[in-house]
Amino acid sequence: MIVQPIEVIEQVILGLMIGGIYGIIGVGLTMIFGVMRLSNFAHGEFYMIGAYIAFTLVSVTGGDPYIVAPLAAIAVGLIGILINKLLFKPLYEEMKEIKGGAAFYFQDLRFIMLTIGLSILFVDLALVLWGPIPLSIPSPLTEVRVIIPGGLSFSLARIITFIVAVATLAALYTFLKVTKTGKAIRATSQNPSAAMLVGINTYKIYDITMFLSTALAALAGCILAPIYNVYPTMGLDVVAKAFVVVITGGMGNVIGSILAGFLIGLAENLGGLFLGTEYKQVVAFIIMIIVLWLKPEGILGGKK
Amino acid sequence: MLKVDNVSAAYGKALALKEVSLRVEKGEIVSLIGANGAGKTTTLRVISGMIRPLKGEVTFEGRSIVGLEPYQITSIGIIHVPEGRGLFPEMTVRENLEMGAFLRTDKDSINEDLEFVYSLFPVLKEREKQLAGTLSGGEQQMLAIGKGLMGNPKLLMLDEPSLGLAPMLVDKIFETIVQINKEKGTTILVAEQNAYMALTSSHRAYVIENGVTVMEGTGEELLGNEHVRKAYLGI
Repeated sequence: MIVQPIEVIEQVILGLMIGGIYGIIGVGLTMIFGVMRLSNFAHGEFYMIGAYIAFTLVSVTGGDPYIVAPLAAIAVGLIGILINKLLFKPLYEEMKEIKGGAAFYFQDLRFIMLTIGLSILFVDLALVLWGPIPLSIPSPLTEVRVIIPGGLSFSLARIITFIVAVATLAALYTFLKVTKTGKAIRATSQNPSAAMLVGINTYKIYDITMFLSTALAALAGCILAPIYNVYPTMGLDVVAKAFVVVITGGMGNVIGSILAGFLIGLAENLGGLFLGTEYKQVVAFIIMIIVLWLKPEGILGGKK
Repeated sequence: MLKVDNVSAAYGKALALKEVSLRVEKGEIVSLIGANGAGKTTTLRVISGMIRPLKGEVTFEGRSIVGLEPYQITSIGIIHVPEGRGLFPEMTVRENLEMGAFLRTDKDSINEDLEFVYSLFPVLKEREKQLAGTLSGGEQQMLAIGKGLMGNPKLLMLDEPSLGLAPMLVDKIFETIVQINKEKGTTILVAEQNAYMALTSSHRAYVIENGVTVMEGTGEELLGNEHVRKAYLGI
């Protein structure tokens, strides 16, 4: 089989497009890890719930999935805050009573078990509410083809997905770097008890982090929904990839996750082209293993 | 200004403070001396709201502050520079100082305080753009104190400012503590294992042993006390 240059270009572009989505999902997961040191195994379920809420909003209002996506993301973000307040905070407070002050109590195994429980709960909830049959959310934008010079064409849906992903990542980065809340989030991620002592309400920071992280996952689910199907276990397929992105980029590092997202998106598509599509899924893991081999802390590990 | 009355506190089931009482008057430097594990750090943590006392009362400027969250206690003017220095290692020196002023909005006086901190510790100005995590131990302690000052404290609480520093630097840090107190009138509470430095620099001091404040006096009185001399000064 001879690979034509045009095919390589096509796969590079598709790889970058899916890489943007990996970036969004990975950034959400890495933020929770970076700020709270929580390994959130339910992250994929927020992606799934986002897609289902978009589906419901589309069927009720008849709007376009790309228009309702921000609404669905905000709704899921609020669920994230609720989970933090109802589920995580009481356990956190109890550990704080025993140990004194603030620390990274979220890395405790009990929190990890809670997220695994949440993951199972959400999958079952989706089964009950929306049923096991994969649903599709049609958007007229998937039908529109954009032809680029050289004879390649991509659906407008994929292009919009990519633009939304890049714009979201840029906005998030600016937010964390420039705004006072962003600085408070970074401070909390580096030293939670020192953050409290300069007057930061770390509980609020954890709420904001949960909101952003879950909303980002949901946004990814929404904007991908018109391209892929929506089904209860879709999050389980994504969460492993998200962890690969986060670990490859350096746990807790936002820029690292963005880079790793693009790297893995690219590698998967090129791997699929050169090795055959049956190897596409394994490429991400190979990349992770190679990166960890060369740099055990990940591409940008250790930096916040 | 600050009154700690009969406070006890525990980590889980481990009792750390049994009966701690002390007071700090406006404009004073008060030190809390004692051995490792005697309860110095826990006392400061109770005051700054990091730990809730089991019983007892803590009042600041006449009102009870027990049960307030640390960020609320910071907002009323008690700034706690914790053990381990409480820096943000991946932020620059300048960013750390700015974070110290997190709750303030008075830009002009923030800048004044920044200049004051730089005048106390010129090395911080030189290293303004360097990450806090890459500073030497002495510089980190200077930054920790500077960051505390940036919060415009009514009461500045320092936990073991001499820990891990060379003797010359310890002298410098305590000189600066006295200087801050004189120039700014800041009230300061220092928890310190180095009893000699603490006693010679403070107006008054408390001795804490096994979670109980057992002695109180002026710096000179305690320097002359037989028990203090034996147990803490090695004379």
